[in-house]
Amino acid sequence: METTTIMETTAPVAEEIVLLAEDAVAEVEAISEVAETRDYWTPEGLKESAPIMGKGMLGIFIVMGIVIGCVSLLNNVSGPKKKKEKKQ
Amino acid sequence: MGFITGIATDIFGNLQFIDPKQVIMWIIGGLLIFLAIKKEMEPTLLLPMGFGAILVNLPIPPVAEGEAATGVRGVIDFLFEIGIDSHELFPLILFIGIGAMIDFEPVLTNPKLMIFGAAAQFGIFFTLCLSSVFGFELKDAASIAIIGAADGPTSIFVANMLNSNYTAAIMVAAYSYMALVPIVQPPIIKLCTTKKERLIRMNYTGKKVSKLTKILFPIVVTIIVGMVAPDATALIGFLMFGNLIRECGVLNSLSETAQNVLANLITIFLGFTIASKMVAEDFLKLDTILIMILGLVAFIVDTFGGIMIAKIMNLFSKNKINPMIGAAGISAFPMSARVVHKMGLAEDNQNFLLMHSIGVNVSGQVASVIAGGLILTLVGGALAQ
Repeated sequence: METTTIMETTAPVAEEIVLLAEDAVAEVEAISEVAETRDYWTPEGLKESAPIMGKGMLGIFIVMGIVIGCVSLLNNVSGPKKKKEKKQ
Repeated sequence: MGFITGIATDIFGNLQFIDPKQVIMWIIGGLLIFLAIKKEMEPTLLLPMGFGAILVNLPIPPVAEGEAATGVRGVIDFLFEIGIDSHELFPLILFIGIGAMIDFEPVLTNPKLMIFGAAAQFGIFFTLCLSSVFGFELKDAASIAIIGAADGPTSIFVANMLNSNYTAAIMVAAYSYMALVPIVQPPIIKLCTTKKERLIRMNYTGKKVSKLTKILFPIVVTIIVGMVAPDATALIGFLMFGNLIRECGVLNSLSETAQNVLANLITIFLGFTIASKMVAEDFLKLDTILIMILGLVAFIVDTFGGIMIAKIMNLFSKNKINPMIGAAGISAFPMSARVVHKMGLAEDNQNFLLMHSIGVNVSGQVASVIAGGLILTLVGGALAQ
């Protein structure tokens, strides 16, 4: 009877300790993963970065092209009129 | 005797907590101050950064670490939190000042010059690929690559938005290389061009630009960039707002304040704040050296990209372009334009390339912001997948 009572009382505590231990192990594993020295040569990284390079350069040229078009338009619309200049 | 020992322990007890790494950081801080004062390399930023690097690397006894968080480090961390970390406030406000300083007239008279600004951002994307090959995570690779924008506020903005682990090293590299433009660019320009190409003369027509164009330019650019690269809206918006203040003609007092007082005030805090990330244990890593090398590569490839597009355009154009002006497309304003102008004069003392190179240089400023926005959009999209 006494043994059963002791078991009933200690079981939840033991479970809690096990859970805490599992958490601690998981935390240590996570820390060691971060602390692990990273790989200094990963050519496969290009798979991800090369498309960004292509899209990025294309994007810059397109945006700058639009800006060039707008500035040229502004210059033509608001610039001094050529006819008047010729007359002068 | 015991009394004297007690006093000595009280006063010098902190010496036992000195870490050799901290001493190395003092030396690095001292070097930055030396470069700022003796060599006049970006003194407005390198000096506060150097002093801040010493300040944040003073030894703190383990018991007092909690208290120290409310001391010097606490203040600098607070500045970082409100000035950079929360909403990138400092770089953005600095951009108002930079916008007010820039005269876009040379590029408005010859809008084609903007192509060089675009091409000279190649170093950013090349370095992104190179960094990813060297094992950096995509967000860190993109943050390192943006050193090639040759623009401090853009580098800070992008690195912080991407939550990079290497913000301090990126800042130091970005500002150091901006200061080193007169040393880095000339050998690359000479290597990529022939003597004949360097002698090409370019006429400057000096067409007049209407006030309306000057006023509409910042508004139109903000709308275009904001639509294409929404992540760059804040950067381009603040830059162009500063320029609008300059060009509107009715806010001269605000324009002067933005160019001088505001820009200076923010610069003081910015350098000091960046130093908060120069703590020995975070800064003294092999990765920091690698970042410095990759930053240099970004500057070199930027220069190469600008020159090459000029050479390609020369194949199709009647009026030949001096390829050296392409090198001014990196946005290190106005150092890069001056470098090109001086090199032109060195080859031919009647060859004045200043207005062309200034035009390319300011277009590089706009292009670098667009590149920053595109990096945020594209990398953000890739990370979300």
